[in-house]
Amino acid sequence: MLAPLDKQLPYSNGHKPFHGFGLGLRPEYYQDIIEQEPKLDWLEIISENYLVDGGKPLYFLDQFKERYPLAMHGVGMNIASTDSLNFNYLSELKKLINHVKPLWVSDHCCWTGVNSHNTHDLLPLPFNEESIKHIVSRIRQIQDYLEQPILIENLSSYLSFKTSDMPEWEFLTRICEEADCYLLLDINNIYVNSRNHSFEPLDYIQGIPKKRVIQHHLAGHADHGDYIIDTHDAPITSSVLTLYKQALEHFGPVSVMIERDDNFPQLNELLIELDTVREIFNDVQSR
Amino acid sequence: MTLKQLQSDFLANISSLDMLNSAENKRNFTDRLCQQGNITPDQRLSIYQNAYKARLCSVIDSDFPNLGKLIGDDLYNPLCQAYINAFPSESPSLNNYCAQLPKFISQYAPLKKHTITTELCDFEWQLRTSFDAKDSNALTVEYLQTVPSDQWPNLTFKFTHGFAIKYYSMNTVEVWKALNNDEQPELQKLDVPQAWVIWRQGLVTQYISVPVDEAYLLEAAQEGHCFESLCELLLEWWPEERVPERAFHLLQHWLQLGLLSQ
Repeated sequence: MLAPLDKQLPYSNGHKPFHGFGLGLRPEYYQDIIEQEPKLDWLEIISENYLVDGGKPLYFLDQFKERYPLAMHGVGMNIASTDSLNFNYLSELKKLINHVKPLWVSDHCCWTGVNSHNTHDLLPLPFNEESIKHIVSRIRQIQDYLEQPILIENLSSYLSFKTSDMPEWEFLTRICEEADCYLLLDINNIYVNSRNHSFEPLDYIQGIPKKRVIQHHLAGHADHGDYIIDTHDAPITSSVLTLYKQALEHFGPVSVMIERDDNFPQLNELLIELDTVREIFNDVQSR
Repeated sequence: MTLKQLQSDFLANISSLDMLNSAENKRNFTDRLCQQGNITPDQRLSIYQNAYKARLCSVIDSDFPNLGKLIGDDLYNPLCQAYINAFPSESPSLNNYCAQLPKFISQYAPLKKHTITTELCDFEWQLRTSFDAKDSNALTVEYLQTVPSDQWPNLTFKFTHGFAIKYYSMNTVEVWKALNNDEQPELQKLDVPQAWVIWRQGLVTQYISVPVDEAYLLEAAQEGHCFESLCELLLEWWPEERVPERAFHLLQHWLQLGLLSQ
């Protein structure tokens, strides 16, 4: 069984770690980050990129490990699937965890496949008791196996189910409380969902317990008017930065990073964007 | 409706390409979705359908950067679609998603008669495979010098992970290079197939053409033939008095290239 959380992580007693401002590490920036060693407090790696036998990914991983604290973020845990848990995957992930010794390990509160067919997309599910019970049981098994708590990330989604009977923030809170896990709260995803599913994003922020939020994601999206796609291919919008400011006011200091997955700008542009995030943070904290 | 059934139906609706067959399933599924704002449940579902296809196509694009350039969009897009239909991903990782494409393309009706397509696909996949291969400790001349002379006849060799020998009956690698430089390739059928060695040296994927005796010996060494046996095989191409010189030359070449591992 999982040891009590207060014996494993310093943040269960109310003292949350704050690691500052980071970036999502992508191969497009490997060389620049190694050569420039920019002022970054930490980096987030995509776990699956390093579940390989050898070659460049593992070489660079060790280079970054020497230079920056790393958090591990996955897309393959398939937490909410009704398939059996994939212990081969978890075993490989655990080996990587032992190698990287990350700040923490996260994945998404979603399913990516079923019937052994993986879509490699982050798919939503109904927000109801059946889903909570299923996910809580799975997260507990995963945490037992990995011997550490995990962070789950809120999803961006484009459809919702009639069988949902609670708001997303209540759904996530219930899962975190019942599974004793933590949240990687993606501020952009809250904004995207607020537009796609017509709710007030501040209600979401205020509906999440402060003690569960360990990390924030920030990213850009594509606004199509009637709906928004979470593309990570553009700068963070002013609406999302405003919501981030409101999140800071509610949650206090939370480690934060920018995700960029397409239409990659020069590294310097991302660093400038991260400076903007720092300024918002400092502004809120100095009040 | 269980969660299991809902996930199965969702999956069928985003991955199924037989729209006539799935029309009723689709209606049944979208009936379970909320009507929100100005976009319909059908449009919402189509976001996931498009993302599913786009994601897998982008993996094929990434693993085979020159295949599409060779055959053009009119053949490439249906090929990707057919592969996605035939090979749903079964792994949390996309690293090996395209592993079956070289074989698939050799049996894919619109392209199977075009040898260059099959060979280029095979070459691109081998580059990808070697790139991600497990790290190896390269065998050094210094290490071989420590082998006592009486053990040389029985000496066998191990190759680095990701090492492969390929035979191409067309000027496949030249075509690949031209496409890689966004140049128009000139296709040429060779009189005899050319052997290519592909491997990873340090962090860099390498490829070179090798003469027929070297390719034959590399294959024999890979199969576990000892040094004495390899020398005997060289008799097919070389007079007996020149075999030791050729054998040591080849061995030195392999060591320089980093083909052998400890």
